[in-house]
Order: sequence, then C-alpha cells, then structure tokens
Amino acid sequence: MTKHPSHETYVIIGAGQAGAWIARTLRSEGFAGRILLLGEEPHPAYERPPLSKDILQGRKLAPAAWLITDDILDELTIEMRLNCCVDRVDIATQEVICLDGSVEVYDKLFFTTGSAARLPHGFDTSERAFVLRTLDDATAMAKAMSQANRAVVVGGGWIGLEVAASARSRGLDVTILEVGTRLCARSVPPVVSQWLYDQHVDNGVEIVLNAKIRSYCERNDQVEVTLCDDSRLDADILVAGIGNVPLDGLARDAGIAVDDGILVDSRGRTSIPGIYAAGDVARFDCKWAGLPTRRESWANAQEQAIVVAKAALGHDCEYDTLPWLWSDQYGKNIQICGNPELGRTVLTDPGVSHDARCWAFLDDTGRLVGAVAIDAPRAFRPLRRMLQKGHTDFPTEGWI
Amino acid sequence: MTMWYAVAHESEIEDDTPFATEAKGTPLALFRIGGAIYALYDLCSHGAARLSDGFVEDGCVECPLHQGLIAIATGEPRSAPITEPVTAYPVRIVDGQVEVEL
Repeated sequence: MTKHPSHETYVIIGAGQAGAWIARTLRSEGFAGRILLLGEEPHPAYERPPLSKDILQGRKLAPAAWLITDDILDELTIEMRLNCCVDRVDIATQEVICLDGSVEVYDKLFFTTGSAARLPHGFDTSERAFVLRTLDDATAMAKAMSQANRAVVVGGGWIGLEVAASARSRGLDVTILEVGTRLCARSVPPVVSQWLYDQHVDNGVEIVLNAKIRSYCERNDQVEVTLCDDSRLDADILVAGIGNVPLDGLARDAGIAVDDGILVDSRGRTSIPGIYAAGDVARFDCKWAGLPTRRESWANAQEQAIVVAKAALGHDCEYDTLPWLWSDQYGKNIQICGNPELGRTVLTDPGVSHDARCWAFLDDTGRLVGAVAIDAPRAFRPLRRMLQKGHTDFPTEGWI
Repeated sequence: MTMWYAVAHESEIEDDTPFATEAKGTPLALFRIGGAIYALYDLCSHGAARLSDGFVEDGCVECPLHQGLIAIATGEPRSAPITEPVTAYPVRIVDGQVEVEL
C-alpha cells in the first residue's frame, strides 16, 4: 500500500453524507495525516432521507442518522468546521480560501458540495414557500405544516411525493402539481407511476398532471398558484420539489472540468490531479446507465464516497455499484434498483402478498435492466443480485 | 444478573433463514451457520429494521432496509451504513432447546 506521510492534509469541502463518509473512510483505511471537513450548514453531517419523513411528521432525527458526532471527531481525529463557506480554491498554490479569510493548504482535495434544490421560475422561498434540502429547511417546513390546513406541492417526483405523504399524515389537504404526464417519470416506468398515483389518490391527495404553472404570489397569509389555464389554487404552504442542481461553481471557478456536475472517473478523480469529487455533485461514467450520470441518492453519496476515499489512498477500486434507492410513503417501502426507466417489458412476481408488488423490467432484447418492489424485500433481493452480477438473462418462468 | 431463556427449538432454526423470537421482552434474531446457532438483538443499529427480516450471506446478515452488513457471530459492523455493533447474546442448546443468556 502507498505510504501516506502523516504531515499531509486532506481537505473535504462539503460536510454532508458524502463528505462524512470520505472523512471516516480515509481514517479507517489508515490515512494518518490531517483531515479537515468544511461544512456550510450549522449541523454536522447527517443522512437526509429522514427529512421528508421523520422531520416533516414532527419527529426528531434518530441518533444513527448523525454521521458525525463529537465522539467520532475525537475518536478518528477529524477536524470539522461548520458554518464555513469556501470562497475559492487555488489549484496552483493548493489552497482553500474561506469567506472568513482563513486559508488551508491541502495535499489532496475532495469536493462533496452536493446539490441545491432547483427553484421553479418565479418561485421565491418564504415563511410559506419552501424547498426541502437541509435539516433547517425541513424543521421550518414541519413548523409551518403544524399550523396549516392546505398544502400545494409542485413536482411529482420522490421529494414531492414524500412531502405530500407526510403532509397527509398530519391531516393537511394536499394537491400535487406535476408538469409531466405521470409521477416519477424520470426514474420509473408507467406501471410504477400508476401505482404511486393510486396510492396518493387513495390517501386523499389531489393530483394534477400536465400542470403548467403561470405564476406564484403570496397574499393575506396565503400562497396563490395560477396555472396557464387560468385556474387558481390557494394554500397555506407551498413546497417545490422539482429536482436539484449540482453545486459545482466552486470547482468550475477553480478551473476543474464541470458539465452539470464535476466530471470524475470511476475513482472520483477530477480533471486536476489530487482533486476528487463524490456524491450528488459528481458526474461519472455510470456503467449501468451507459452515460455520464449524476445520482442524488443516499446510496450513491455513501458508496461513491467510500470508493473515492479508498482510491485516493491508492487502493485499486472503482465505483460500479448498482443504482439503488428507496422511498417510504404511507407506511409502504418502495425499492428501486438498476435502470427500470429503460425497461420495455414489465414482468410481475405473482408470489408476493396482495398489497405488495415486485416488478422486473426487461429491455427490447429481453435483458433485465431494473426492478421495483413495494414491501417485498425478499422478492426484490434476487433481482438486485442478478443485476449487480451482470446476470441479465432473465428466467421469465413463474412471472406474469 | 443474567439468566438463560429458552427461545426456540433447535429444529426451527434453518440455515440462511433468520428466526424471530424474544426473551424477557427483548426481540431476538436467531441464525444457524453450519452447526452453530447465534443470537443477535433483533434491531439494526442504523435504521428501524428487524435483522430477522434480513438476508444471510457469508456469515453476515444484510439489513433489509439499507443493505448494511453485520457479522452474525459477533454483532460487529461489516459495511456501511452500519458503524455500531449489535448486541450478540451467548447461546446454548439444552435437550434440543435453544437457550439465550440475557
């Protein structure tokens, strides 16, 4: 193994899930130098999936969701600076310059700056209009929900659907406005979109598809949304969940190659030697998708970060983990792996219980490309294993 | 003071299939690897998932929620996101009964 002199400093910009896993992995894999983790948020790293569930439903973050604690910092000798905004990176002098004027010299640098919620045109956040990205976002939204009767959610993707489900659980009337023709269209085939639609309608959510929004305005403690067909919705709170944008500006300004995300190889290496990226902000050649891809999932933030930290220490490893994500809505657990959106043929596992589902998705040539399961982890797992191992000749026997 | 509790019959515990039981109100997941039976506290140390709903592979149980691995014999974490151990309880077999000490 490569030697890593203990006088070296590795700086990680971004103290979210990816940044935390890089810091922890560097140490657990034997790096003896200084690890400095810089975060803009006031909180140490935490897992974000509970924000749209636990926090919006009025619960606290579970202890295990905190990825960095004082004990971990002590035990692993990680330096962490919160509320720390990086102004710029100078790749010639290998310096990170913070807004407070402090300068850190790095030997290796990791960008785990993540992504920010995309704002719809004409949408400004306020005490009634929200996006969901941070713990503070979620806490403020939960407080507003506790005093609200009616919510409008813009965007029928995973965040929008989970916000809608949490709002329903608190008794709010909810309308989802989705510009497309179906829910979660980018990540799942129509059969899953329809299942999601039915779940939300059965739970009392109003869903408007093909919803083209003309304008937003706030008036008399209400938010008004006007659609292009002149219809108008009023609500106490408005939430936009229409996707994220990568926070790659700092890297771009430093002269690192970016293209809607920091461009990295399968080891997280950017265009500049000694500088790496992982998590939401990194665009990598995904062998599963067959094209340069960013993934904004919990699993990607964790797994890519671990591989990149090991690769930076000279381990021979590449990031080729099968895409995988889950969602929890109305007490149901939805798991997705591979690229089901590329599927042309849908097969259903008849063996799962009445309320559960397990679908396998095959492409035009009959190869397995993805799977989705609802409350059926035992049926889902063999499909995930087949995909991860590249066993895509799918035995269709027993499926309908 | 710890005591031994009978929690299952030996024949109920199959290879590769976790068995859910409890003793004194403590949820337990029993596993058989080769000839030996092991007992873990039946809750993942990361998420709110039953290890008895998990999957057995290579001496580990994979959490059904987030795919973290825990060593069945010791309860030690083996892969992210699991970083904290799960309690492993001593097991003995008495006249075909699986007894767990807690």
